[in-house]
Amino acid sequence: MSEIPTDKLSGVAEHAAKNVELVVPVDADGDLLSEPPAGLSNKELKEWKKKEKAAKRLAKKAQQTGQTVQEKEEEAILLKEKKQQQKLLQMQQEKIRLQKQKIKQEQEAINKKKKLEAQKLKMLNSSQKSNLFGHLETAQERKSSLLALASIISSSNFGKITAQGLALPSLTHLFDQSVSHVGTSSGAKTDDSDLSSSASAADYLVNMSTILPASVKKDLDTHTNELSSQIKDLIISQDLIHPTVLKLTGSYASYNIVGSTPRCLALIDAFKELVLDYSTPPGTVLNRSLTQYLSHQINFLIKSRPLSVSMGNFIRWFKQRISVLGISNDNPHGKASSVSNMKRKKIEEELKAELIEDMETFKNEKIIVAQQVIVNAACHHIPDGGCVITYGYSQVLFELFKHAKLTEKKNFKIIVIDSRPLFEGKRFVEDLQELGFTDVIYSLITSLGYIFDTMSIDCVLLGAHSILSNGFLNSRVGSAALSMTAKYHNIPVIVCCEGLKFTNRVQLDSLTFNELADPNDLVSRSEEESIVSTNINPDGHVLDDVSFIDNSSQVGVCKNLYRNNLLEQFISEREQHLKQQQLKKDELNKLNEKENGKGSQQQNNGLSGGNKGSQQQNNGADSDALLKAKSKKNKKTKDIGNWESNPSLNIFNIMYDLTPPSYISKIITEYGALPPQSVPVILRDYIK
Amino acid sequence: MTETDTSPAAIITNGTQKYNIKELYLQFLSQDSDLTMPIAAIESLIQILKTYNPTTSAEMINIINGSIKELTENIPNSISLRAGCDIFYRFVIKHLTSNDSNNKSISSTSFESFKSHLFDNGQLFIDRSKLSRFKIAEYGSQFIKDGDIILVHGYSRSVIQLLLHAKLKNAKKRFKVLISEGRPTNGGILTLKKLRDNDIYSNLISDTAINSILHKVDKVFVGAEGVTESGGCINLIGTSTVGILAKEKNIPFYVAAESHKFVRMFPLMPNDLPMEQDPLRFVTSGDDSKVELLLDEASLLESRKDIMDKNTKEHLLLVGDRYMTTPILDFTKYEYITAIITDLGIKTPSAISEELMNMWYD
Repeated sequence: MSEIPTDKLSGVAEHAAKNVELVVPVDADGDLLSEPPAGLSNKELKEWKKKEKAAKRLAKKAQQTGQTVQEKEEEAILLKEKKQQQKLLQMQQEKIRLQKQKIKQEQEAINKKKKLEAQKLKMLNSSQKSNLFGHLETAQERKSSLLALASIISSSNFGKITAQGLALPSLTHLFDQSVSHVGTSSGAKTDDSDLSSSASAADYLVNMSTILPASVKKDLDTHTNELSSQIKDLIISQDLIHPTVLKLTGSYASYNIVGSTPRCLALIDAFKELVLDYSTPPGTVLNRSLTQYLSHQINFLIKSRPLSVSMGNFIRWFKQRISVLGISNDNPHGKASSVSNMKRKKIEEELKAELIEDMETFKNEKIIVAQQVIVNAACHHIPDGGCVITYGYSQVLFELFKHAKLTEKKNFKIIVIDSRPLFEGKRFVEDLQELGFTDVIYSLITSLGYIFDTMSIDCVLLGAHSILSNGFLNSRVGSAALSMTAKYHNIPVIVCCEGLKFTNRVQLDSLTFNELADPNDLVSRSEEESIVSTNINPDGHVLDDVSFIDNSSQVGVCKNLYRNNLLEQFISEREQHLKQQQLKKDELNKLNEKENGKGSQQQNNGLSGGNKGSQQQNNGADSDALLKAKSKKNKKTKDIGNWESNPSLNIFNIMYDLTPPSYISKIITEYGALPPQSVPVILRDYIK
Repeated sequence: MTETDTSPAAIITNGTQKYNIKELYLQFLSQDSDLTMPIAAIESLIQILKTYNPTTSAEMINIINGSIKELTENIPNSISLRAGCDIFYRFVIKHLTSNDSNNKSISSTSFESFKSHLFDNGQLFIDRSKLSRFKIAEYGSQFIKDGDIILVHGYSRSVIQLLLHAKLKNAKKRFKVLISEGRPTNGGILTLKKLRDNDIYSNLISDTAINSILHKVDKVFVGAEGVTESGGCINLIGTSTVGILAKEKNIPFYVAAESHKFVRMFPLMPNDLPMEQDPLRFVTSGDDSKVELLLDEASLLESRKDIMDKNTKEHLLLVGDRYMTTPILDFTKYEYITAIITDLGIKTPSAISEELMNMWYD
């Protein structure tokens, strides 16, 4: 007990030191090192010395009293714990006090802010509307980044008003950063030199701006972080984007190229051009740099619309193809440095030719020939003298009808069902008529019930956007309704779909993954204009109040020129009729209340649209506000164009819906016909 | 046989041979009552090839195509024989193409060897097909439990084999069998006789009585003329009715079919099958009325015993044809089928299309 070995002693010292929360460095002999650690202030130094002394004392004490190390330790721990408990108690009390204060302050602040927030809420609500599709990227988000980019590359001074009437002062800071970044990354690049080439790029993007500048700005305000980083990326890679891809992006976004297969075909063609123009920068290998280059293009492309499954499958195949490019060659392309420049170029040209040829083969094999096989297999479903029904536009179905009509000389009726806002069916009908079809019925999806009840339909033929591995069909929104109605009427639903469109994804509803299109497509802008112009007769004269009733039929005709919506026409005519009655009442009132002059000032204030002013004579000046609200309300019943400022109104314009396998009788692919339950077989065995 | 005259239609109509594929086919069927239609079709195709003895692969394919066309057009109930023809055609094509691609230089010798292989193994086909029925019995009898009441619609050799296996071999299960008559061919009577002969408790009910007794039934077993790509089955008329009723009452509905009955067809509706008499042909009591024929039915029923003794399904079919415009086959959708018992194992309906695709694409 009296003899404690030195190493044990040092251990004690260590423990003690730890107890005062400071590790005192100990040398091999057990002596405490006296040098204080460097970089301490005076105060800290003093404290450190104090603690050192305490540690020394403790060590000595332990030696003298002969207390066991353990006992010492326990004592120290106990002491520490006590202190800590006391400290904690104090802290807790203080915290509670602070919290109470805080709560008070907060309550005050809340009361103050409430008014402000109520105002803000209105603004926010419009952007944070229902979260049913909240997880999906909206068309606004996609397009606003495109628009921002377009505005940047079309103007040298950022934040200027651009061709689209779009001012983006909120973005300037962002651009400054990114441009400097561009400057450093790609060397000497000036805005002016780029202007001529990039201005044309902006031209491609102009026609896709269906979004109000205000909404873009709001988007950028609310999603700044996420969106701005995306825009930054786009700006950085801006000069890398091939003009064909720019053009393609424009065509996608403006729905000039629409439908899974045409989009994929256009993409293949664009990539062919792109590969042709591509030259590997020095110091890199074609395999790697081209893949990187491609992903830049694709990043840009998906800002128009998300990739379709067929496009995704093609891109996957293409990237895989690039990755194995030239590996089988005798002199590997990787030894770039050892090969002369000329030779290197030659090899590259060869590889590019190989790639382009492969793409052509892919296109022929997976789309064109596949469609022929499908057409041959599906043709016997079209009975001579029968009637088939289809939805929207599908390229493979067009080929099928063409084959049945021209090659097999079948006579049959086609019903094309269509829907807003894309009206793809109209194009289909036109194409069919060009082929010489005489018996085509075009109808909207709203009349589905009537059509199935009255016409004897032999089968439903549908195209596909994609087919999921659980047998669900992902197709243009509305297909599911058609299939369901067909199933109800015991009419077989046949889906024609290339193997390229099969995907491993599993989806049970159309909410989890869908494409959100521009909600403003549903709130037609042209309709709003037509409302303004409805009261102008074909000669261009503004109809005055007296002639209004007499000319109502003319108005109807005029309206028909602008839109074929009978219901809307009826409603507005009804309203005008009511207003006319109101006007008469008002005149009676006027006779009775001649002293009330204020109201009459506003009578017939020259509004051509719907005599809105005529309502305002009822109660005089004090109800002006109320009347304004009324007139606003009137406007709302006509149009929902102000939905963005209305927090309780959501507009969803989704592109696709899911048809469950129970509605589908048969899927025809180039691998054969199969029930929807057997889709995994195709995915497992035939699509690699 | 001259090589210049390769058109099979010409060959057959030239009449240098006494064999006609239809007669050959019917002869095979009547010789062996255990023979299924697809196998008989394959057998007769081999026989035809033997007699014509083609010297080139193109000639061989031509002969096969012509014979298949002749056979399917002349036999009224051609669904399951079409399956046999498909398999045979596919088999030949596959071998010919693989031979050609592998060794072009010796293709003539390989063609000869392939031909002799084809001719020699004719008996193998028959043996295998009979074996497959035993396999089905083995797989299928495990579905039967002691005390079960089983409904059988019409006559099917696979189902009878399955029931006998369960009764005699597989743990000697005790079960009762309810047999529906299976009009208009009345195959149920044939089934009844075979089962009673083997000490299986069985009873016959009219087709129209199925629903009234189905709630007491534990399982339904039917055979198949053909199993389609969608996993549905083509069988004696009334099968789909039984299927729908069984589905409604949640009674398992099993189809016993050999894998050579898988047919590359995809009917969408029950009436998508080729029908020789259109049930949708409506007449009044004019010249085309068959009321007299229907009245004669009574006397035909009297003579039914004779037909039964002959034991040939085909004969019954002919009788059925005579008195009604009822189709004799219908199509049961895959939705109503619990499982398909094949010699390859027990398959869900959706697995059929995989099997068929493997057959055609690999």
